[in-house]
Amino acid sequence: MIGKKIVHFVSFLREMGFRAPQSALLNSAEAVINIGLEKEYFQDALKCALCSDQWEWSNFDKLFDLYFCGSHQKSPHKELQDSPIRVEGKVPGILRETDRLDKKVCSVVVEEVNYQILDLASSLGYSPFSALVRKEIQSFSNTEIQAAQALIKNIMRPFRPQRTRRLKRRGKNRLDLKYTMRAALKNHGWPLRIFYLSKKKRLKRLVIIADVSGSMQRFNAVVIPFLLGLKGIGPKAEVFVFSTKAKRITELIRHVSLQDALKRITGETPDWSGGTRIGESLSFINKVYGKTLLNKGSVVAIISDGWDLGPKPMLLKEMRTLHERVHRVLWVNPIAGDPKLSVMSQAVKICMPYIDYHLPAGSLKELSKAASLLGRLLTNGKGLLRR
Amino acid sequence: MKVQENKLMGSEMWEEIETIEDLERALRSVGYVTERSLSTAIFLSLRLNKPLFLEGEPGVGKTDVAIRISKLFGTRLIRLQCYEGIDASSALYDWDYPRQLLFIRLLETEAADRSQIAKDIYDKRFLIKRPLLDAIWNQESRPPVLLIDEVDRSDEEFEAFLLEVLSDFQVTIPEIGTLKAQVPPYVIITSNRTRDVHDALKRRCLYHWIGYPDPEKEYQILLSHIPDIEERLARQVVNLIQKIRTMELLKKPGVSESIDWARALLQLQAGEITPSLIESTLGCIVKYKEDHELLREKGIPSLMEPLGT
Repeated sequence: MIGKKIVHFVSFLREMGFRAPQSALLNSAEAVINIGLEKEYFQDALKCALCSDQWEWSNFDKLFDLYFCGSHQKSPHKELQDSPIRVEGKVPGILRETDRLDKKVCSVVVEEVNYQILDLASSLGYSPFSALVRKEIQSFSNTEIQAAQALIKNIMRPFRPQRTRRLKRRGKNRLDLKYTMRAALKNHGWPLRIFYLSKKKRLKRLVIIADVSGSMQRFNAVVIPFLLGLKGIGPKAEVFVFSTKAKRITELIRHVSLQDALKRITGETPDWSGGTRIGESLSFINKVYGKTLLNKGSVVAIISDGWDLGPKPMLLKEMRTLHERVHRVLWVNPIAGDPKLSVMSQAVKICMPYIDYHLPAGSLKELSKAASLLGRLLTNGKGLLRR
Repeated sequence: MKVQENKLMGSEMWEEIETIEDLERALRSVGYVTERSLSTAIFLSLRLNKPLFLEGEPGVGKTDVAIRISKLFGTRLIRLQCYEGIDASSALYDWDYPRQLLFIRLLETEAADRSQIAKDIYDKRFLIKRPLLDAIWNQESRPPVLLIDEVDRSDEEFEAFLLEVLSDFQVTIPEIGTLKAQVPPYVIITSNRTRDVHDALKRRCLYHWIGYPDPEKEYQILLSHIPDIEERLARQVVNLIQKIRTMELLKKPGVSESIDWARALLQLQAGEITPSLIESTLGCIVKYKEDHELLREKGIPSLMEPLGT
């Protein structure tokens, strides 16, 4: 009887977004046999057997009470109103306007989105998710931004550059003495085969310089998390944000979210959103971080719409300096695909001689193409066609 | 990587522990104050012989669980500190090449049979046991405690390799054969959640999230670690740390920071906490420049207000 109850409870948890694999179910049954049915211990035993991350851990007690106190059939979702997860309907594909959307919900959405995208390939039916992929990022609502933040993780998956940490055998650069000696032991100490090593390929450093002026806020909410989410690249990327002046936020965003980081900077600097001055910001980055961060091992991605209020000669000079220093300069432009708006990107036009790739990234679809190029640039140092 | 040896303490301890309360009491006797849910997880991990996966903020006592369990049962603590780039040869085993070469030379001078040399050089005495092999190839009657610390720092390849070891508690050395643990070790895996650990690894473990303790528990922890501390000072330390944790810091102080701070205050022979004392010992509590600035900006005296000093 209790076994059946546990099986039902596990299905209930899965419905609520828990992973709870089959092995966890077996673990929980074994745990209960060892612990007994006293409520608190029973609950703790199931908790450590069925949870696998902090989110599940923090929501377990609520769901346990809900299930075993017999009120789960009424409205389980309603009970989670105060927790980070907020879901509407049985299929959590439809999102509601919320301030906080937990990654759990997002992951469910992503699965749904993937399904929809695959489905779309074979049919012409309308899907709100495929529309999200094509929709301009600038016109995203708050909910759509959160859904997109989850969605981009899946979009970029095929382009995740894989990095090998070990030295490669069968190279030609350096003698692999250790392995040669080891192999020689099998031949009575005679090194009949010589082994060589070659050095692993290092990923180039990604330096993100993002315009966070008013016009770029929506765009950055999607693009920066996307770039930072790139496996093997993101966690080691250097991030600068600029408006009237530039600020390095690499350390800050390792501890707090991007939104919180920007909030802090805005609080610290009163005239932060006074207009965009790309030239002055680049000048600061070139002067202060030029020697340490900007070299031929770096790929710089400037995220800006190119609406600039600063002096143009200065912008040109700083872009030239930057271009000379780094391996490649990418300009990720949300309005590049729109001929009416792109006329206003004066800064891009001026800087074009010093931009290696001018990438339109107005929609998630365009962003995925940008990620593909970025992946190639950072792993091989080579892209396809310039500009 | 470090292999620590503890003196036998409670040889018959395991037989005496029949309930979770027994375990909770026993852990308290070796200086680990735990909550019911954690003792349940440890109890089940020991009973079901499943690795215990502990996650939580840095400095909340994840590693200490393994240390205290080894102390409690009087068994060896074998610690595998994970790092970026760790591989099987640093975690499992390696051959002692210099000794093997010397041995070959020695046998050659004695004009030994070559086929015999080839056989002899792969003797177990030339095997360097790294922590994982050490834990599996254990000759003692009581199982050691294997601590795989900060698994999130290692690479995904190493994580996959761990799956193989942890599922069967056996390793295959081509030159020797398969070695299976006679008594599987107690395995504690810790992670600071700097990256997500793969589900396949978590699936093989029992999970527990260790959060920051409540004031009463933290007070008990302080007393168990620093028995000399005065009650009033300990309460002040706990209240202040709890208050600092509510602030938006880059790194909130963990239990280890409160213990360090209390020890520092004792060294300074402080009877009670004053703003100037906080100012001068701030380095024990917060470890980032930004956090120092934030605390100074908010006003250290304001931290003292609820304490009524």
